[in-house]
Amino acid sequence: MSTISAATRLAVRPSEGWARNLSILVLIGAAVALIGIFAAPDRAWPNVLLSTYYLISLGLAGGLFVALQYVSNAGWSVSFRRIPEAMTEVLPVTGLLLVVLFLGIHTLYEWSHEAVVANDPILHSKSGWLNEPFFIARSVFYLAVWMVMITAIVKRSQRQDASGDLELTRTNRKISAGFLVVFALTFTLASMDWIMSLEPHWFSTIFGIYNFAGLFLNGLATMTLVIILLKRMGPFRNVINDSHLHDLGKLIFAFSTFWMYIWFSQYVLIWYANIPEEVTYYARREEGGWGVLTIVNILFNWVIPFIALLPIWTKRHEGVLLRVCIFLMIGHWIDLFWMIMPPFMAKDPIVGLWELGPILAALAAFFLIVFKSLAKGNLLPVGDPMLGESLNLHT
Amino acid sequence: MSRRLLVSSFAHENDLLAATQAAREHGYTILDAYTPFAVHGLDKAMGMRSTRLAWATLILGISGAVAKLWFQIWTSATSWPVNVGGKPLKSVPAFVPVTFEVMVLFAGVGTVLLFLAMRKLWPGKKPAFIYDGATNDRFILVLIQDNASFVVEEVRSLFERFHLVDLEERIERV
Amino acid sequence: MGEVFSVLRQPLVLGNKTYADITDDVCGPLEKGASLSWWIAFIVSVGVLILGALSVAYQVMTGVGVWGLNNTVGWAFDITNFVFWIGIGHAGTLISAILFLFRQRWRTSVNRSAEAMTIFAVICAGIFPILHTGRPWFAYWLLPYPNFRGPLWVNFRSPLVWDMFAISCYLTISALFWYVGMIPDLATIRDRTKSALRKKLFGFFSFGWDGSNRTWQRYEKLYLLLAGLATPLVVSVHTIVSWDFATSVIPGWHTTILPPYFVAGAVFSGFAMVLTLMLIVRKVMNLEEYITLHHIEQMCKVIIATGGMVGLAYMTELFVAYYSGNEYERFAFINRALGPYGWTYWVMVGCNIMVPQLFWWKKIRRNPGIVFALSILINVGMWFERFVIIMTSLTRDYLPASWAGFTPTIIDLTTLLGSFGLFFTLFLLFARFLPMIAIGEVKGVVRYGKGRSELKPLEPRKEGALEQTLVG
Repeated sequence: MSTISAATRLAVRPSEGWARNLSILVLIGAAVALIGIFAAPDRAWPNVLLSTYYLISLGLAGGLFVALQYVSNAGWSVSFRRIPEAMTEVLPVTGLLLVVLFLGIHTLYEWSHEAVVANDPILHSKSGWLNEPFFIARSVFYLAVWMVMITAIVKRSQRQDASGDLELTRTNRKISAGFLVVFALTFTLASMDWIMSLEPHWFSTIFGIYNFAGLFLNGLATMTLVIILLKRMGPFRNVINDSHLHDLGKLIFAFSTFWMYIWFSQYVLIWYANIPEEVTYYARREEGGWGVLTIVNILFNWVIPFIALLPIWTKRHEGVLLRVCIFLMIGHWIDLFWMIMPPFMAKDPIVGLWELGPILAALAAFFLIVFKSLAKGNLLPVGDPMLGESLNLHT
Repeated sequence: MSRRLLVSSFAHENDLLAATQAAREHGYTILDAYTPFAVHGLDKAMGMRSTRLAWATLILGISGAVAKLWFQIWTSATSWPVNVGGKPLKSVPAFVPVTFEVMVLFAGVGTVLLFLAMRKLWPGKKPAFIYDGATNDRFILVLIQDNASFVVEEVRSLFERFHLVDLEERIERV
Repeated sequence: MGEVFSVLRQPLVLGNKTYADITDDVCGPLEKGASLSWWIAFIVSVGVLILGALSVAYQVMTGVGVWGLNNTVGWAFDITNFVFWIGIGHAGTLISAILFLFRQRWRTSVNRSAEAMTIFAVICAGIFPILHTGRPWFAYWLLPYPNFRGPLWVNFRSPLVWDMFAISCYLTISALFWYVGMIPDLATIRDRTKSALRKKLFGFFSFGWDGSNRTWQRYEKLYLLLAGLATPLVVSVHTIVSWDFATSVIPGWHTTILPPYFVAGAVFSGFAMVLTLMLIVRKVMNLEEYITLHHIEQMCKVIIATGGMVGLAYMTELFVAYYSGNEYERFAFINRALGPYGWTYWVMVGCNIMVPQLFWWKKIRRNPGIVFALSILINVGMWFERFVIIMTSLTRDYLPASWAGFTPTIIDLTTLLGSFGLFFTLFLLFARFLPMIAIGEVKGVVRYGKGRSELKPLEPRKEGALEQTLVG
């Protein structure tokens, strides 16, 4: 049986120094990005977009994970639900970043130049969708809807700590189901708006699913990373056992393969049909340094995690799992870089100060926000009726 | 050659689990347990090693995939190259689907056959000896009486703590 | 030891069943004579099957010209039926493999019949491409075997060859999975039957299974491995089916979302068929305590989820057709909704998008009569989905001069009907002679959600207590 009989407040208290170091990293990265915007706008803006999108993905993945657990009535994951909940707290910050991004719209999006659109029949024919005011309105709308729904779920989950009210679980199931529907629709459009329209002549119907695959894979990896860190720091030592790690490992394994499946589905269809309006996308990404990056992308997001997590014992092994998570977090950055950058770097991918600054700031901000949030309240959802199942998980 | 077996039956899987544990702690030799469904944790209680079936599956899958990939390249590019729709002769992306299917086919069929061979199961085989209810609602533990100090009554009193239903001695000819 | 169940869990098997009760409930009906309703259903199914067989015989003797095909529309009912049946099969694998990996234990009452359904559906599906070749007696030419024509090999760059491999592999692995899962239950029947013939037959087919735990341990591993293989396999099969269309350059067919969209649609339609069958079976075979309203509800929820994915795919296709700025893409979708086959599009939208929304209401999910009716509507909708995809793109492609229409002939219709006859005949034979419920697996979950542990919601907010336990 569980070692926890009368559970209670279990807080993470990152040392002051740690929080300060992270804050310094955020500041350094943000300063680099800011300088870059003026010194090398063509390289800095896309990277600000990448980092913002990366952060949004993490926040959304947290909300998505929580919602999926509610909808599927999952018991195994309850003990660490506070982690994905904390991840969602980055969403307000991304709102701020989004506002900043609107300033770079002309650097980023070809379709935002009226003169270009006027001379381009294809862009002209879609200007009803791709135009500045509508784009900004949509972006704000997506984020607002996500935040409202996710906050509703997280607030109820926290309120249950005190009351243990079963009704809160039932309500959260309903909100979660609604959120999944809303998420599917809005995220498909959002990924097309923010990322696909960087190359506005190209289109692919699977694009939203491809972005979802990357988002959820990276979300799982990051969540697992935080869980393992908390296990090493102490608070989760007796809460998370290797059955939990095994399940997380399986999910990562499955979604890594799902990502590869979606990647291949998009690639093989465009390769096979070989029609000019589509194939230019891959033609650009198969040449020179970009071709190398295509392979590296697949290595990081699928080959390495797949081989590493194939046996049972590695999924239950903290150290292996932690390393795979780090690979995947880098892999997601590579994946986004591969999607976003080619129109801005015609020949080869370049990684320098302007590329590293923004992502450094984003990651540091993520960990700062997550650990601050975890330090605030209960680390275990003590009022949840399924907590017992999770604490006693043996598979 | 023959050996003496002691067949004890229980009505509940938890009783069997506990009895198996106890039998092992007392140093009795367990031949096997017979149950109507897979009892979680029984293999640990019996002290069994975990199976290496998964390795076989992996090797079978890889060999199927490699063989099929090679075969596709050989037929399309070497044996009789035909230009179809301008696709390259060695169209690796187009060879992925069939390679995958054959990988699964090799791994799946091979593993099942290997399992049947390892456990000596085949169509028409007569089960060695049937314990009443072992495929219905009885959980059976079989001990081997392999040394002089084996006293049936001791086992009976040990197992009665776990709600023993029936105890029976058998002689098996090997 | 022992599992902990939350107060929110519902038992999976109703009534206080003992292990022996479960054996009796599942095996009992097999040992009695068939009921009147079984005979009626069987005779009707065989009748329809004979009608289909005659149509096929006529078609084989005469040629595919007896179908309504023409120069422009070379794929119609045959390929629609093929994709439809393959899709039906996918729910069985989802239940047996994917839900197994996700530890969804409610699957145990329905997995056996769902797997059987998979095999029968794949058999029905396989018939159509073979007939479509026009000379089915040469069907073996699809295999890459050394021959005296060169040897001339099959074209491995063709999606149709991928299809042949996918379907045969899928049929093999599904049959293995089903059979391996059934071996312990066949032994159960062998050990309890009074009839000498049945003892012989089931003795032969149960492979000498004796319930040994040393075998069980490997068996569990084998089952897990097969589930692990079947999961990507089922995805690959409908992915490859979708590539039959998507690798082309035809607007409406060539779209990258097709693989996951087809997979979701397959599972969606398959679950509708599982519901149709299970709702009949639980009633006729008195299995209401095993296939409970809880099971029906779970399956309805899967239908909402997969139906949602299908809906998302429809909307994405529409949106991207606009977004592409490509005249032909846009036309393909306007034609779909408003062209000569527009009504089939709206049948599809009504049945696949609107109907599943009713399952959001618990009252509807728990009403077997309504669920039954809705599940049939979804089956209809998913048949039309394949028809819409094939027909609207083929009848009107790039070249208006070659536009044409398609009207099914009576042979088209009787062949489709005949495939249902085959499906139900096989399923009824299965229900009559083999255990419909995985006896061993149900015994393993009989206490699930019952005998709740003493765990109450934990006591909130008491500083310190836990930290001590954790340090210790």
